[in-house]
Amino acid sequence: MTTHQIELSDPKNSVKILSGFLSEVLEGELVPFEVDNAMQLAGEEAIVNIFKHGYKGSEGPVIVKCTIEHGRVTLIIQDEAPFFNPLSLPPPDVDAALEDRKIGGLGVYLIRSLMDDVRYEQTEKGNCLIMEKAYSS
Amino acid sequence: MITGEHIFMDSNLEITDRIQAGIIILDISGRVDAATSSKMEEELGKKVDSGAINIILNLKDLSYISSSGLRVILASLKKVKSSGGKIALVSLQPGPAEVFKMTGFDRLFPICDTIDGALELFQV
Repeated sequence: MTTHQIELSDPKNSVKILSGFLSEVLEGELVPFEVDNAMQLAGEEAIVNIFKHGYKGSEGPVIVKCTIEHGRVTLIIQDEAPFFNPLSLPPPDVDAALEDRKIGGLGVYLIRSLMDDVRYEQTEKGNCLIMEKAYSS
Repeated sequence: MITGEHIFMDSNLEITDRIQAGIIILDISGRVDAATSSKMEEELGKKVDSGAINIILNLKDLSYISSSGLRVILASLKKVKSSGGKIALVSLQPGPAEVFKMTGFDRLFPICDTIDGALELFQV
């Protein structure tokens, strides 16, 4: 088992850096495309929320760890922002008619929908989101 | 066939626009994520602000879209719909198609297999 890790800090380039990091790790481990795509989405949605809401658009440390073992990808994202459990957010109404659809609020919903398992933990310094998805190789 | 004009290009996102049968078609290639969605917002916004109400988004070469991209196209749809227009999506690839289905966007936008199929939607 190998854990790949990257540290992000700048909201302006973190999405691009994370995408490059995950592509390299997941393609290198021959993870199927649809799982690669799901992990990229979950990772992006998580860090965008951290920088936007946790760090209010400023720089701040975000550590991303990606482990692939026995056909299961685990993505752990840790920050030092104020405590906030994103899984406490109510789900959006994805069946609403256009006039009632709210713009936004889909990020956490996508994470929950795409992952097999999502967990939130408070750490000494901030927040930790653990996202997992299995695949058959 | 009218050759499109590149209106935006970087390493992750390329947008080309053209007009076919009087309808604006935006060919969107690459990734629409939180880093690139502002460019799509700008280009789509220019079309809507200039009075276009019927738009086709050709997503044949769109490999990835996140909630940042969904936000942009939903906002544009709300604007054109209020003027009686619509936005049709063409050739969704598996990754983006799953995202559209999961979020119910497949019920808000007509999704067509071909540009010709989408153009027919706009014929009166």
